[in-house]
Amino acid sequence: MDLASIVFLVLAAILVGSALAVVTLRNIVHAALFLVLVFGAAAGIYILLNAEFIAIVQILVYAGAVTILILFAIMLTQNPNSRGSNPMNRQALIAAFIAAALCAGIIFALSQNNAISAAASQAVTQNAGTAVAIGNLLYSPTSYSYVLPFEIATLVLLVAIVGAIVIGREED
Amino acid sequence: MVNIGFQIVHFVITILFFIFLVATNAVIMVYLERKVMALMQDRVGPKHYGPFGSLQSTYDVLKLLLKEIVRSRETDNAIFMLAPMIFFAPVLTAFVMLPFSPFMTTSALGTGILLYVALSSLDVIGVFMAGWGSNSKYSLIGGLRSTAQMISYELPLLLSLVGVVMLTSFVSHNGIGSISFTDIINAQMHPWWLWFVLLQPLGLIIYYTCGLAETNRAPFDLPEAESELVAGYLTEYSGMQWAMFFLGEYGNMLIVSSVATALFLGGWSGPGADLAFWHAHVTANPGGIFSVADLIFNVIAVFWFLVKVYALQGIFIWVRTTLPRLRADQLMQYAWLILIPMTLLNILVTAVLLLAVPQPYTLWVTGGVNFLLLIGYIILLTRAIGASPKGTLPPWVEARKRAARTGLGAPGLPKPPAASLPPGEPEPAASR
Repeated sequence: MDLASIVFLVLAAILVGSALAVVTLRNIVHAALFLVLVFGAAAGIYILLNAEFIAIVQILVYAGAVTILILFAIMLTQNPNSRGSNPMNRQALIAAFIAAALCAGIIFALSQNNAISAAASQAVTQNAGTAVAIGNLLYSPTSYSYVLPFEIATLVLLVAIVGAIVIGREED
Repeated sequence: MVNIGFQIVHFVITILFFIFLVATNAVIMVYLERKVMALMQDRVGPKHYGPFGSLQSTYDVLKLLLKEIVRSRETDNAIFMLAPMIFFAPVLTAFVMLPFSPFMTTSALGTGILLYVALSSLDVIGVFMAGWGSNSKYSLIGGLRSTAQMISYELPLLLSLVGVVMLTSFVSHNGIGSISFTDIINAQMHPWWLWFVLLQPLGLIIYYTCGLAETNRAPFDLPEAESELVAGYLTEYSGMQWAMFFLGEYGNMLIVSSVATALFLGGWSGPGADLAFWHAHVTANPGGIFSVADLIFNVIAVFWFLVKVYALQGIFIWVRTTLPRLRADQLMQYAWLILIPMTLLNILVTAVLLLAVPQPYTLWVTGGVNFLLLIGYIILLTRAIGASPKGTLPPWVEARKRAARTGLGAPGLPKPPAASLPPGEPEPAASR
C-alpha cells in the first residue's frame, strides 16, 4: 500500500466518522462544527486527486462560508440550552434505506464498467485541477470555453442576491 | 534532478523558520507595540527588565506559561479547549504559500491568493467556538461581533486583490495571469522594480484596511472593546490558551503584512536581490547543491522581505495610537457602503484601462488613474467621517420609530408603546 492510499483511508475514515457525527449528535453546535470537518476531509480527498483548485474552493465556500452562516444563524437564535437542539430525525429508517440504496447503486455502477473510472482517473491526472486550466475552460476568448453559460449563471446569482436584499430589507 | 535529501533539509529548514518567525514575531511585536505607543503618547513604556525594557515581553511569556488555566463552570468543554488551537492552526498553515525568498518557501503553490482567503475565513470558526463555548454573555456578544466583522471584511479584502491579478495577466508574456505568490512577486521584477503599489495604490490601502479589520486591530477592535465587553470572546480565557489567541492574532498581523508585501511591495526584491541575477545563477548550476552565493542572496532577499513586513506592522501600531474605535453600525456601513463599491469600481476601471489604452502608455495611465481614485477615496472618507451627526439617530432608535410609524413592529424588538420614545433610552438587553 502506498502513501496516497494510506492518506486516503485516513481522510475517508475522518469524513465518514464526522458525517455520522453531524447526523447523530444531539447538540446542533457540535453537529455544525463536525460539518466543517466533513468539508475539510473532502477537500483533502480532492487534493489527493490533484484537484488543488477545487479543494481550496471547497474550503473557502463550504467550510469558510456556508458553515459560518449556519453557525452565525445558530448564534442569533434565542435558545438557552443547546443540548438536544438537533431535532431527532423521525424518518431515520427511511433515510437509512435510501442512503443504502444510493450507495449500492454507485458501487454497482462503478463495478460495472472499469473503462469509465479509468478514463475519469486519466482525465483527472491530466493537470485539469490547476487554476489556469479551469480559467481557460471558463473564460478563454480564443479557445473553446464556457463563457456564455458562466455569464448566465452569474446573472442568475446577481438576481438572487438583489432579491435577497429586497426581501431582507426593512421597508420604510 | 534535485536529490531527495536536499529537499527534506529544505523543507525542515523552511518550516522551522516559519514557526520560529511566528513565535518570535509575537514577542517582538508586543515589546515594539508598548514601546512605540509609549513614545507616541509621551510615556516611557516598559523599562525595568533588560536594556530599555527589552526583556519585558520575555518575562510576560514566562508568566503566561506558568499561569493556571482557569475554566468557569458549565462551559462547553471540548469547544472551549479546542478554540485557541483552531484559531491558531490556519495562521501557521498560511505561511505555506508565502515566498520569503526564492529558497525560503515550501512550495510554489498555484493557488496562493485563494488559499490565503480560504484560511483567513477558517479563522472565524475559532472565534465563534471561543464565543460560544465560554458560556458567558460577554464572550457570546464579542464572538458575534467578531464573526460579523470578519465575514463582512473578507469580501472587500478579496476584491481588492483582483486588480493585482489582472495586472499580472497584463505583465506576463502569454496574457495568462496568476494567483500564485511566487509568480506575482516575479511579475513585479519583470522589467525592473515594477512594484504593484505604483499601479494599484488604492488596492493596497483597501487591502490594508480590511487586514486591520480581519485581525481585529484598532480602529476595528470593537470585538475587544474593553469598556463595554470586558475582552470580547477572550473574556473567559487565561494562561496559555489566552496566549494562543494572541499568538494567532500577531501571526495574523504578520500574514496580512507579508501578503501586502508580496502582492504590492515587490516581495523580496530590493537592492542586491534581483530576479534576473537569481535566474542566471540557477541556470548556471542547476544541481541544487547549496553554495555560499545562494546563501548570501537568500539572506539579502529575506532581509528585504522582513524590512517591508516590519514597516507595515509599524503602521499597524501607528494606526492604533491614532484612530478612535468605530461603532458597530459604522463598522458595517464602512464595509458595505464604502469599501465594496470602491473595490468594484477599482476592478472595473483597471480592466477597462488595461484593455483600452494602447500599449506603451497602458501602465502609466492605469497607475495615474488609480492614484486619482485613491485621492477620490480619501476625499470620500473625510466627508463620511466629517459628516455632521446632527439629526441622525442610532439604528435601533430609527427602527423603533419606523415601527411606531407603520405599526408593524421591527423584527426582534418588542412592540413599542404608542408614545414617541425619549432619545436617551437604553438599548434593549441582548439575550441569549
